[in-house]
Amino acid sequence: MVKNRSNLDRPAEVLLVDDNYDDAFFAIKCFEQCSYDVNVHHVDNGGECLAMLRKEGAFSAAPTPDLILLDLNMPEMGGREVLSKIVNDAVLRRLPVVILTTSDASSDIVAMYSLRCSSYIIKPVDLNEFQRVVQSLGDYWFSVSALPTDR
Amino acid sequence: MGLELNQRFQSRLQSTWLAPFAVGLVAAAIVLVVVWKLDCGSSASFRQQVRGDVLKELASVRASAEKAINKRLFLTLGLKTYVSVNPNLTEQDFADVSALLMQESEGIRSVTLIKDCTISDVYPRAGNEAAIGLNLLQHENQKAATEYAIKTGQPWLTGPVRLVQGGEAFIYRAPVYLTNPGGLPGGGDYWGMVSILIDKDVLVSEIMAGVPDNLNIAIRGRYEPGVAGAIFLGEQSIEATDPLVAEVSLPTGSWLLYGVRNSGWPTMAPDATGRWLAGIAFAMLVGALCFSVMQTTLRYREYSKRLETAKQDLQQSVMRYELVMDGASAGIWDWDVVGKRIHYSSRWKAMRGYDDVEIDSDEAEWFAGIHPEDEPRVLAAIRAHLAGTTPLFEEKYRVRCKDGSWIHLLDRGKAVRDAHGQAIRMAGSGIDITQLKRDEIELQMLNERLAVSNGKLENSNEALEQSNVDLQQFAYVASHDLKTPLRSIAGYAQFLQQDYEGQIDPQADNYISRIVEGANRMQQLINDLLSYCRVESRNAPLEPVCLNHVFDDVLELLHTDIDDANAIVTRDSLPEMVGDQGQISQLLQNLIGNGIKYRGEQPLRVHVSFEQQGAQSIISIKDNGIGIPTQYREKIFEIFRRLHTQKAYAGTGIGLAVCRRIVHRHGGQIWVESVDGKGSTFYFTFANPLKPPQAESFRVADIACEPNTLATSVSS
Repeated sequence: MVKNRSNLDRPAEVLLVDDNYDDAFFAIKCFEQCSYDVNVHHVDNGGECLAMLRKEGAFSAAPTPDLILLDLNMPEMGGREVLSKIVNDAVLRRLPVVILTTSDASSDIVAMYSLRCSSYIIKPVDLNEFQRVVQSLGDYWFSVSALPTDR
Repeated sequence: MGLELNQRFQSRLQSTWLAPFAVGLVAAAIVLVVVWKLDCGSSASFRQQVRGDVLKELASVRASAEKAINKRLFLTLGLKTYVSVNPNLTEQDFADVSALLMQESEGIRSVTLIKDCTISDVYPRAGNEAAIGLNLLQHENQKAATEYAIKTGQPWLTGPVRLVQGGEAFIYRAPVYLTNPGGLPGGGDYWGMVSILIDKDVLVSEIMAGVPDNLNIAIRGRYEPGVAGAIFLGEQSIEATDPLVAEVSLPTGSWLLYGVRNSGWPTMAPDATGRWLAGIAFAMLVGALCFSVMQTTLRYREYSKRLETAKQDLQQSVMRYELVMDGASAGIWDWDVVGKRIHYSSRWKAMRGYDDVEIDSDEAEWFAGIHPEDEPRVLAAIRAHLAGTTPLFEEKYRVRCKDGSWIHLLDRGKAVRDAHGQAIRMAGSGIDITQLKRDEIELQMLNERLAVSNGKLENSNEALEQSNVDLQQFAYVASHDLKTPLRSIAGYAQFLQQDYEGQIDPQADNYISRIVEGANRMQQLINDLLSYCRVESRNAPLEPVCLNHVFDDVLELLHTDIDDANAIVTRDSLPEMVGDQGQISQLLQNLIGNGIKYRGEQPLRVHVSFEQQGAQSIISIKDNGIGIPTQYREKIFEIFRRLHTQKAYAGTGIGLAVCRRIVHRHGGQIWVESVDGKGSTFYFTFANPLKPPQAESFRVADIACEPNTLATSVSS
């Protein structure tokens, strides 16, 4: 499909943090289908996420993501801890973090917003719905919003 | 009670001085009165006596006065006689006779011859010449008396008068009537008078000579009848002393002789003081005697009464005591600490199963009968009380009965101490509390069992709570965990659909489509299950909920479905109730949604109304849909129960189950009335509304719904 021009004059970099490979596959597929040029990087745990953000070890060449999609219920380091660490990091805190999770618990929603996540999205069950959501994400973040990672 | 009586007794005792005192006073007063009377009497008689004495003295004074004056007056008779017979006597004759007269008595200052009413001669002449030629009628003083004398022929005495020559004198004049020779003496005419001047001082001193020293006298002349003259002897003031009066009779008129003791009349007898002192002393004695006697009598009476009362009290006390002891089934003991002997009441012995005579009164027997486990404690308590460290002896312990069994005893006692505070005796009572003890033990056991049951109950409650929480937790987690693979299934299936639709074969498309359907359905079921669980787990506090607003919001939510169904959804004015806003919204959404979903051929009308039946508040949702057969009216509220296939009507069958759960949570009931094919009315109740339905100016619901439906119906 013909991709829209985003605000960025390059493909958008999205860091997807999710321990469920199926969910990750769907998200990647949806981004491929959406109208924006997006590179999705998928990690399946919080540790790798932070390593990538800090460009540590194997991730020294990783690009800084324009948008982070963060799941909550992950083993070892949960989404909450990851977000907390991002927010407390002077360099990383500027990066938009959108929580993308199955949890609709208001306690989670409140907690995440309290940690100053940029937005909280409950994973739709329906694929069509998910496709719409991904498109909206693209519209909002790559077309409507200005980004701190935009050179 | 005894104290009060005692106090009263004491006060009455104290007040027994009053009456006797009064009586004593009266007695003394009476005695004093008697003494006084006696004294009066003796005083009176004394006074009488004194007066008598004075009278006697006065009489003698009078006699001497009479003698003194008359002696001199009578002298004039001689002269008068001479003149009467010899009216023409010469000066010499007169002088001789006068000299003779004057010689007879002392105190005669002069003799005067009065011819007619004029003084013709005076003896002695020397010094008295001035008087000769004096006309008596021209004399103011003498005139009246002179005329009187001439008229009556009576001599008269006047005086005392102050003489020119000095001194004072009485003047005695006697009229002279001529005696004709051979005729009646003094039967002739009036010739004149003869008078003598009697020296007052001489007369007075003569009179006074006979007056005793302690007698005070005064003399008043009274010459003219009815006219009292002046007092010429003594003081005027004597009249104020209530003097005795004697009359000194004179040839003409009289003198009034006043006499009184120098010191005045005595008011009381000389021995009065002594009499009074004795009298007072006697009175006091009598008074004291009366007082004493009477008080003793009264006190005796009080004491008697007190004694009587005390006796009665004692009787009552004894009776009461015996009654109480009997009623309380207590036994009594009396321990002679010093003599080491104990006396028991028969009741006490009976408690222990002994006959009256069977127990030894040696104290050792008693102490031996105490249960060995209790003995140290009991002995310690007894010692403590005897020593004075505890105010009372009280212990519960076991004692051996005759048959060897033990009874529980509640024993109480108090010690009697001697002057040094040593306990010499102790007495007390005891009650058999064996049964009580048994009951106590039983009670304790029951209590323990109860505690155990309670504990168990609490545990099961806790467990129940916990399992509830666990269940909720489980439902929540399970549904999420179930959803994850479901998402994968549905997702891939949908991708298959999107990417390969029409590319394999229709059958494959069909399979894929069914997979998707199944997955979706499962999603639905899980969601519904979750929302069903949530009805209880959501702990939103109950708050006032305006049903009107909830209805209007639900209509907003359902407006697509309403439009699609061409339904007209209306409501009456609904009240405000207390509840969970979210759940009430869910409730109405489900019920109204059902009404819309299960519509029939007719144009759909759904109406929500409110009714207050007594204490019950009922909301009803009425539709003219397909209705529900009678036999399923209960079943439809069960979870996942459906009356129709998915093809006919979509749904998981959780809606009404959720509704019921919500209604139950709000303390109400839910049921349906329906005519198969005609429509259904769902009812639910709730606790009394906060506010009854208010009148509204317009029905927002109608306005929101109707234009759309109108438009649709017009266009179709």
